[in-house]
Amino acid sequence: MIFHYDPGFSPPAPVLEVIVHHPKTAGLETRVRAQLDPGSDITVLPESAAHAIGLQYDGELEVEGYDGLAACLPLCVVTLEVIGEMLPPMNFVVMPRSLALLGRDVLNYFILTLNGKDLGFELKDP
Amino acid sequence: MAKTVSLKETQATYSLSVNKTDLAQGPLILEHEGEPVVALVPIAEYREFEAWRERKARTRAGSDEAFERERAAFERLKPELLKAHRGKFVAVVNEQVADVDTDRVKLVLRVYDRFGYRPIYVQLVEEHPPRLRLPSVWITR
Repeated sequence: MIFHYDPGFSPPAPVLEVIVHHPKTAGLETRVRAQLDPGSDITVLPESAAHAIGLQYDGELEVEGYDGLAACLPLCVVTLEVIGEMLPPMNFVVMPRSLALLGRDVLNYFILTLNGKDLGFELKDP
Repeated sequence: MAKTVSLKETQATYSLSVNKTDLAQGPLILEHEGEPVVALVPIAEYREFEAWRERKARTRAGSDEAFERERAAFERLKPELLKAHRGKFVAVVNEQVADVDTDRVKLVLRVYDRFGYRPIYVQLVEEHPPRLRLPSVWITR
């Protein structure tokens, strides 16, 4: 599936919509915009998305940001749907931010081709 | 069904005629340049929404308190857990160890099946649990 970069970023960035499914209640879901971030070890969900479907935190994880500072962020298990593919339940961290970040834990399920020249990217399930 | 009214920038002031009958049909949506910007609803409906929002905030606060209790219990139990379950994930529920596994996701889902969907605390039993990197995120504390 081919997507356009989001021109709202400077420079434009690869962003797509994903669906966050509640791990125990079928049909309870929310859609969030997610920036592709192969530099991140783990996927980050916006706090608003977690609250929207009533996710409970089930632990915490120490993460280090780009400035080298570390903090413990809450974790929760959810099922993520990306380009129509339902991934197995996974651990994600939650932060107060507007966009989700898709880290390598999710991106490694797919073949990702970035075409910065044409400001587009292709994501497909092998 | 919602009724839509367009607001034009050239108008110095806006004048709306709204009565209970209009609002009984559904919210009145005000548009500006084709985009919906405001929804007018009956005051009773708005108060119901406010009450719902407060209930939701209280529930969230209650969940956070329960999560903190389970986390504190894990820290209290940690010396014993390091002897018995080092390198494994343990799930703390009701301030006690409820289950142990090497697979965190399987453990979390199993505990939810057993205790219902509620705040729990699942952590790897190590003196220094691993740290993951989010290099594009600004960490604030």
